[in-house]
Amino acid sequence: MAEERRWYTGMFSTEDWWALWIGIFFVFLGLIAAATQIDLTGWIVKFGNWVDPVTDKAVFGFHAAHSSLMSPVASLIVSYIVFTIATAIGAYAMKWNLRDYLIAWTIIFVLTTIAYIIGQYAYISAPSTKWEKLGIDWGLQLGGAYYIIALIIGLAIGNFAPQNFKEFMHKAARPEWFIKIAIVCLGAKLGLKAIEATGFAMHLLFAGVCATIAAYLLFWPLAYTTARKVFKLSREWSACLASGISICGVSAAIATAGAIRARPIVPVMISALIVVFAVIELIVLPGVLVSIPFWFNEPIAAGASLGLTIKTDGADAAAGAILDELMRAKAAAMGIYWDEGWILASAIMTKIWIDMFIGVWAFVLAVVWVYHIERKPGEKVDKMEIWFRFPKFVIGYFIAMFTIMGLGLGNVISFENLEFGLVPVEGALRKFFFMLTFTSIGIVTDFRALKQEGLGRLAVAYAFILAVIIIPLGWFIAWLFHHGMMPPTVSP
Amino acid sequence: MVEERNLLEEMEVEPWEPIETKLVRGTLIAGIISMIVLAVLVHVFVLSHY
Repeated sequence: MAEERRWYTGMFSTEDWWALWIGIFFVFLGLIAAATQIDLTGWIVKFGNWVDPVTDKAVFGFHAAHSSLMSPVASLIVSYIVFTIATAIGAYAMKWNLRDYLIAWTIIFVLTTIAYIIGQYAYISAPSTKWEKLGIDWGLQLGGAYYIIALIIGLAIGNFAPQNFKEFMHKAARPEWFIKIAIVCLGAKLGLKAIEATGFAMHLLFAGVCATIAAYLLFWPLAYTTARKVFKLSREWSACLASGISICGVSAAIATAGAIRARPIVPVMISALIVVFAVIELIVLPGVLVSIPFWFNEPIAAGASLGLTIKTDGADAAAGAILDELMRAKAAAMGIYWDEGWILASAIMTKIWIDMFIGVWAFVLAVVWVYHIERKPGEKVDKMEIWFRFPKFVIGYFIAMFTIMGLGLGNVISFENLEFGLVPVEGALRKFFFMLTFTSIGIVTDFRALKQEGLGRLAVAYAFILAVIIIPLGWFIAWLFHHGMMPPTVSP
Repeated sequence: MVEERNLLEEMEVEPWEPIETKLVRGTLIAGIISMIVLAVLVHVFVLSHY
């Protein structure tokens, strides 16, 4: 299976590795800034609520993360140049068509910026706690509206643009890549938070891994049996569908297809369903969770439930970000101020543990298929498959988290200095890559896929398993392992 | 799409084999045991603090 591969194979040629390199590059830039007090990250463009298009500090609400460093427009231009160079190096190394990538990337960057500006209009998204400061006396308080606007713009392209343009945009619309870069930067955020709340971060880590192990071991056999017995699907379809819906979406479906030697078209068709359903869940689940009092009283468990039930990294992180905003806005209206990012961290934590099990599960299935189902004498399954299937960006997430925690808790760099260098990375840069993810998810999601002949039966099976097994069981397990955990509170 | 439609329409559904029962039952039992044991651990070491 992996005769000609080495442990380092793909290090400079896969999206997964390049998410790690780019994410770690920005995190270490922040660490150097923290250690030297040279402002290496203050140029990153940051978007905030706005009423007047131009003020002393910002233009349409955006400005440099350290606003004294440069003007808002210069910050936007420098951010565009640096993000473009960083991702273009990756695109070049992965042998993408660089010219097409740069054009499509630029369009996505501009659309994302527009969505961000519109969504940050104070009357749309400013929480009531900011109204006085912004000089307004009413607002819709739609926290996270900018994410939905970016998604709608992307979906408009993905579903209504001419086929040629849509296909062209796919050259830079890489939601999984963008979100993995953002998740590495989120590791920096969790590292910073853990310095102040070490116990809570470690509890979240432990509860997350335990919930994940229990969840996927229950999801997979139930999904597989339902696909085989109820929907009468063959083994290759059932195994890929069960892995996709139980473990980690597209990557798991592809890994399983490789492990059981399914035909290439099988994971391709299942992946189309996974992406479409993940977007539906992203739109529906945060609103549902926040409106159910039970889940509003269990915000960390609600976040974890997203990680267990939404099957792409991009959609899970995106839904986590929306849930974080919605939950905090609702709590703030009741006079409770939860620290930003913990509900999102909970959603990401369960998801990345699930991601890490892809390799192990692909290995188990390969062993079962080779030795028991296909029964090929003399053939062996290479244990290195586990490493090859391991999501490498997760390494970046933990390196960022534990390095920052270690430096902070060991007093090697003061907390204030760490904040100086890293807040622009874990805040402004991470959120911009989240936004790029939303725009890109929309672009690559074509709801017409559900209408395609033949896919209907699979879609019904997927929807049934999701609604009857994955979501109810995922909700129960998320509650079982996280109930009672609350985000730390902050002053308004 | 014709190829994809044919793939699904012409799908040959193999009979359920004992190894599938073994795989499903083994995973399910491992899942239930893991859920109980890990839930107890999480309750004792994590959730009791909240």
